[in-house]
Amino acid sequence: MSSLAVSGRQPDLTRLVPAYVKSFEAYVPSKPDPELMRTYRVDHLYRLNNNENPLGPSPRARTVIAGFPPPRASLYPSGDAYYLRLRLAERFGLDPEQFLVGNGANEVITFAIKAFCESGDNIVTADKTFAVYEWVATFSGFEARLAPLKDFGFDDEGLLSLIDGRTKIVFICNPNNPTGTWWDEARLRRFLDCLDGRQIVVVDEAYCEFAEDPAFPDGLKLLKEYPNLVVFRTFSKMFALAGLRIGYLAGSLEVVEVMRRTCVVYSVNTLAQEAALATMEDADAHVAATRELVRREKAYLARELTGLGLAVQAGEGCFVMARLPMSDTLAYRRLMAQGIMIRSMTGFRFPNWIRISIGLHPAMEAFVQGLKKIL
Amino acid sequence: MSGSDLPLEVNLPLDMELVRLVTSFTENGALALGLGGSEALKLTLAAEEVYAYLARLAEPGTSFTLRLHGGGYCVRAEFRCPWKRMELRYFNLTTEFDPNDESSLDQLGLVLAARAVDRLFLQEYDGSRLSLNLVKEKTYPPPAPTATPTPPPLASWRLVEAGPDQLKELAHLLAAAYPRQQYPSAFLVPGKLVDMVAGGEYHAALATGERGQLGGAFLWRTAGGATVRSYGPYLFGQPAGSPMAAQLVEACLARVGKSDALNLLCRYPTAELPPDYFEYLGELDYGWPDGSHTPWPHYYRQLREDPGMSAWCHPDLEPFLRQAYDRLFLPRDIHLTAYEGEHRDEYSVLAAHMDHSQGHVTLTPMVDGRDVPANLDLHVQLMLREQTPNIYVALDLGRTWHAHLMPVLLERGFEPRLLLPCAGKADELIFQYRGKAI
Repeated sequence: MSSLAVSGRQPDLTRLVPAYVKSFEAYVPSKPDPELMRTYRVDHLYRLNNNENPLGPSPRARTVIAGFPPPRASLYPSGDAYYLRLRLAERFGLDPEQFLVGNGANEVITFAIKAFCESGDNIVTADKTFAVYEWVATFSGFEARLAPLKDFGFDDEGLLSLIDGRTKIVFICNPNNPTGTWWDEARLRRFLDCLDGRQIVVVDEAYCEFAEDPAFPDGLKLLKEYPNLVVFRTFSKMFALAGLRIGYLAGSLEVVEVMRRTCVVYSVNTLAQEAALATMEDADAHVAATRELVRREKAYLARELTGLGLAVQAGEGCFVMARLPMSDTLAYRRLMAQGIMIRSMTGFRFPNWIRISIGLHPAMEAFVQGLKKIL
Repeated sequence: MSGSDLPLEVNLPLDMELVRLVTSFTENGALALGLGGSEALKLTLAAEEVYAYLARLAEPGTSFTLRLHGGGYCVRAEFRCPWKRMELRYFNLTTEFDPNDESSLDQLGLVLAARAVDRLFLQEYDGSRLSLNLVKEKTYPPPAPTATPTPPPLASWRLVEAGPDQLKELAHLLAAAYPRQQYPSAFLVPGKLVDMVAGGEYHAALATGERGQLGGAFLWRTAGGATVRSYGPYLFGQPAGSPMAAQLVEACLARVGKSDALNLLCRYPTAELPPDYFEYLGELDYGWPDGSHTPWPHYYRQLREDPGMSAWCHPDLEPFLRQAYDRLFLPRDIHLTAYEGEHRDEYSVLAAHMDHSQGHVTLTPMVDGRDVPANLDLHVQLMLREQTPNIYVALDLGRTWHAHLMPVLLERGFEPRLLLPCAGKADELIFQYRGKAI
């Protein structure tokens, strides 16, 4: 194989790349479905890996998506999701300026870290939770301090023990992805009271709409009492707009004003904004239908997994974890060979566990049958 | 080696007038990074020879970078420069210098350099850029003979980061409790083991009792690249089936699960390796000096979801490869290829990774050449003369020209034995020499 002549000098990446980037693992997303199906030689693929809503977008959102006029693709979107923020404010009884909309929850995580962390600062979160808090902090050059989960849940004492004068943000995933554990309002309040405004507390409620327990807290209602609280939510999970990438955060006016300085404007496209607006019109019915599906299939899955003698961890959220008597990455390959895609959990620091997203019943049945074949 | 400190570095043009700058930098840098005087001198000699060779043949103004990386137990000198004409064949272990051949005078230095260091390898070579690495290790006193009593079973334990004293104790316990096949010989040298861990290339999870008694250990090596190599777990005085082994492995996985590595490979497994955590790859035969053989099992686990990849293969080995991939449930596209008369350079280079104390060598093709069969024969003959009973060749199935070598290996009595997934540019196929006369 011949190589093209390079006219310029090669960049000295050893010198140019910061040490914290050199040591950081790039996130490698899954290949597109057709490539995976070709690779694993299957003619179908049940996607049970990304906690997507199998019901798809709500009827109102579908109408907006289907009717999007192509000429509008040539126009810039609202740079700050103006109408969507108005609607969110109306729905949750807050000020529109208390919201920032981003290109998925991942982007709003970067808003928070960029706004509050500088060299030498750290963030605190759990060791086995949504990985992006740790990722963004680390590749931005900030230390991520990780408190081990306790009984699969965020350990408030452990988190508090890691906080020092350079801790700027504490990230709490409620309910926690992947374990489904959650703090109730009293516990969340106790934690916020302990910090007493010294740190920003981010409560990531990406899966809150799945929570059916009446004791599950609504972070947005606490914003008035705790100005250091920031709540993340997303339209990707319950509202099934993952492909459009749209999420948001809410906080006190003062805190959000600071974060607005670091946020990327125009990062959320027009279709995403309008689909999100539409989904709020029929949100209640969509949530009810999804909850019913998740409740039913989660019970089925827990029953089947337990029947196979497997340890199961399931809480709130549209996913269930199971511990296998084999490497989770081997299980991934053997299930993929049957057209079933789950999430292996070594990367979540749960070796030999898998996370199964709740899907429609045929997908759940296929998974159970596939799992039986490999155990 | 992944020493966390920034390397020492000097940038200069390739010019014989500057050779003293290179030697001075190398010697002083090596000393500052912890080598003893004798080892620093040998590294300096090697650096001088390589630099002189490059400078003699370089075009005027060619830029050159020399970096010294500290690794705790060694120093790595890295030579980086654009280069097309370097005669890498002189880095073959089998190269012999003919003092009557004036045309090879230029190459003598390279032979000396290769022999003065412990390891030599190319990190990149794409026809225009070269990263040649010379590694010189510190010299350590041999382990003092001590009677190390086996610890009693621990009622409770905790997992800790390895400290120097515990690592020294580990070295002594290993020698007493496990056969030499189950750990690298360097683990027996207490000071070296301490430095290997302190340098950041090796890591150890230890299980200790309430009073700090060492009950078990699991070690791993991260040297960049896709594969983390692991060792153990080693348990001392603990009952069979102790959950300590799995906990030690989990401690390792918690550390490497979010790294850029794809695999955790265990070529030094013990009976305590928890089977639920690993996949059985297969085994090599381990030959002992008395001519006997024992199986050498290999295990691994992937750290990420397998995305699938391609593997280049000679038609002669397609059935073997398909069977291996099916058994391991690895999705691979096998592409057949063979040498069909296209141009090849004259000389090949084989890198030899040797462990004399354990009696095995793994040869890796570095540069293709028409003399591969003869070069391979020379290497095998040398190993046999040196009574190295275990001779392996590792082919990278991500490189087409490696696949072209498959029939050469088969003709010379090598047998395909083992697939190491993602161990190179793609999977690696390990061949074992079966003793056929050459």
